[in-house]
Amino acid sequence: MGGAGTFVVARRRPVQLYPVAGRLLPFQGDFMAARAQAESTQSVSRFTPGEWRNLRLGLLFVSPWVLGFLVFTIYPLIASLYYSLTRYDLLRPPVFLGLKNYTILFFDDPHFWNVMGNTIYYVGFSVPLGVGSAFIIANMLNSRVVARTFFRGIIYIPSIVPAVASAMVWDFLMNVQWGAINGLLRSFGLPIIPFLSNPAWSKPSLILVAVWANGAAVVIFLASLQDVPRALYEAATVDGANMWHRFRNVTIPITSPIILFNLIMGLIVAFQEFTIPWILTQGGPMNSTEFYLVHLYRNAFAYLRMGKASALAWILLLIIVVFTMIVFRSSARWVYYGGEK
Amino acid sequence: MNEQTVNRRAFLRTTGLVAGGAALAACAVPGAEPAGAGDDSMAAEPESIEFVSGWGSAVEPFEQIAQLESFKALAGEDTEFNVRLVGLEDLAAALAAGDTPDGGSNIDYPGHWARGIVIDCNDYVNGSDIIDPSDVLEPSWNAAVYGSNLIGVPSVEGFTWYGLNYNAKHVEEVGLDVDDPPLTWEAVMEWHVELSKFDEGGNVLRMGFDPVDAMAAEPDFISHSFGHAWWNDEEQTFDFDHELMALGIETQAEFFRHIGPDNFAGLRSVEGQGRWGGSYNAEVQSMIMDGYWHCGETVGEKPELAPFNRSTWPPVPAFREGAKIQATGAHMIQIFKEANNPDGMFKFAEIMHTHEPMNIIFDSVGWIMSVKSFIATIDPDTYPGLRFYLDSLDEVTDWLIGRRCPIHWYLFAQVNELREQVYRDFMTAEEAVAEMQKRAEAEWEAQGLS
Repeated sequence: MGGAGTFVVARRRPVQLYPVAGRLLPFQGDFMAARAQAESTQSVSRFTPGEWRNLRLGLLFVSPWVLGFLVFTIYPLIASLYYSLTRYDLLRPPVFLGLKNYTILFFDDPHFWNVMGNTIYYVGFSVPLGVGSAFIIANMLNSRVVARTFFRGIIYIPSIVPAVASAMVWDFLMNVQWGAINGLLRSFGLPIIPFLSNPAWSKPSLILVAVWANGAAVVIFLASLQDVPRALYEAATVDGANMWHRFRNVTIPITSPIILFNLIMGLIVAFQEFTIPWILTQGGPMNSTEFYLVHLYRNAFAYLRMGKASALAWILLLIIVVFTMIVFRSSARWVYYGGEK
Repeated sequence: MNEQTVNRRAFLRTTGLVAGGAALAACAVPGAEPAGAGDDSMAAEPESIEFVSGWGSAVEPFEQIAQLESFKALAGEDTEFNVRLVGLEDLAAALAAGDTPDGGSNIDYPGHWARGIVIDCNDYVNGSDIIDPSDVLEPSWNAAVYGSNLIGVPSVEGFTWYGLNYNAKHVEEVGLDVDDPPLTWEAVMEWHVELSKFDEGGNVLRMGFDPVDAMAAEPDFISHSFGHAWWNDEEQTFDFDHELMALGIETQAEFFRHIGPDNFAGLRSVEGQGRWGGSYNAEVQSMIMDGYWHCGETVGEKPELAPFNRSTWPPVPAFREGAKIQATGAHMIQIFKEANNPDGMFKFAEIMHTHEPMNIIFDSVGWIMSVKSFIATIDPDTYPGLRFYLDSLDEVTDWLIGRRCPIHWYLFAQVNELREQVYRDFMTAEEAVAEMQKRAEAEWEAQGLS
């Protein structure tokens, strides 16, 4: 690196390169002149004209994405942080309040802690149930069941049905008066279930809908299950392992990175659940399904409290970061990365 | 080789610059004046009026009115009138982005005024040869008056808000007297019990009266019915924490308890039955507290039901028996401070004070402008039930101008939430009104209105 070298560019003859100021420069016959030229260039810029040209072209080509990222991601992010420190209703200029929106939320808001409780309940049940059921279904579909291809296809359908459409279907199924499920119960003389009309039933009902629409996780699990080396199962069988042992000691460890992935994605999605509760219950009955994003939306667009809604958004970001970090930290104990730390 | 490399780069640079230049040119101000064009060319450009409506059914009549010869003669033959339907959040976003319309109707009138984004229309009205405030019912005109300011021109609708409408077919079916409707809450409760139907499993098939459908849901109604005012317009203070308010909420709660809160929520969650008047139209509700518009709208939405619609005075508690309460407000045209064409917008408000547009609105959506000379032309039997609202004008004992509070819609949501906690027995009515008071004051301060 320290001596002279040869570098072939798109020219017919090789050019001698000499180290000058830590860089290799072409020798043009007058070493001192080359050095002076290099130092003079360096004082102006660290780039050669060719590098400048490449940089300009590169920036030109990435500029659409960069512009989009700056305008539609970075700017709203910074703006929302600023608005979270203000009173802002879109109609008047923002008024700086400092941390008042945050302190009101934590100490004075009549809804905040109820909303937090609803959301943690929903996340706490829907994510483990969703990931667990998806994993079990994927394992079943990975075994030699009849019409396996058909079931693999059908399990994914809920994931591609628009959320609004599936919400309407669930509404027809679970309505306390004319819902199909209650119609069936009634026909057998059984008591009906107020799925979406009773505060005690509403959250479990929405969790049921969330678990039902978990086909994407099933497909990801299926892909990972098909990647588990057969040799491991064979070796375990030779060692006397039964089905449960193979599942416990081979399948789960090998697919644990995918379990982690689905768990984290499930957490993020569940914390941001909006469409299904908004359509099915609009936060009711008695605020029992007023989840975090429903509450945020209501504050922003029903009450025009943009400052408070921005504060809610930042708190949600921190909550998701904290929960994700906890899961990541715990993953060192239960996720297996092929022997690599 | 070298030449080709350089050429390719040059080509990319040139095309990049050309594309960028073209994009910038496309984004350039469209109104850039061509060389040599002077003031004349600007003057020749047709004027436009940008109007927003918060209610979809009014959009088409507005468009029809803009096509009237009388409007064109007033505003100019070439004036373009553009009306679009907006939600609260759409309008707020448009205002924040600087895309301000000239005016709007069916929007949050007191909220906009309190936040200083609309103009006082007194000067416009005082200079008008068309608008005659003395020809407008006094409470309806005063609905737009805040202090000495006119926060909009009462120009679209504004007639009587309260009436107990009932389905005569249902009433006859259960053996009640169609011509002797209930006038107190106690009597309405009796009808509610008689008219509600359940199956063998206790599931409700029909409810007599939904105490939160249409106008009944508003805090204005229950307080006015019980002889209380929760909002002091002059001092801008709240008085929710009051025994009459608590009594009103507890009275409404009894209607839910008879149906069963879960049954009620289930009935309302059926597609279409949760919206304003949907259950009445679906005939799973026999009585509804609604304004005069109910009569015309029922003809439009459920013509087979309309002939059975009857209406009478809204209920009051037995201790106020004989009180005949009524309320009004004004759907006005507000003109935004940042409007490009406030004069044009006012011309549209002016033309709405002539009978031709009033007839268009009345014939299409059943809405009535509170202009006395127009009301005199209305056939009370145009829509079943309308006669009561027209006749009630002479008998009202307690008038209310409704929806005056700038945070009315926030409070509306809070009352609904707290009332549900009452009828589900999670709190008492007294606790609910105390909490209501607290929330109202907190929101008032949080919105920077104190």
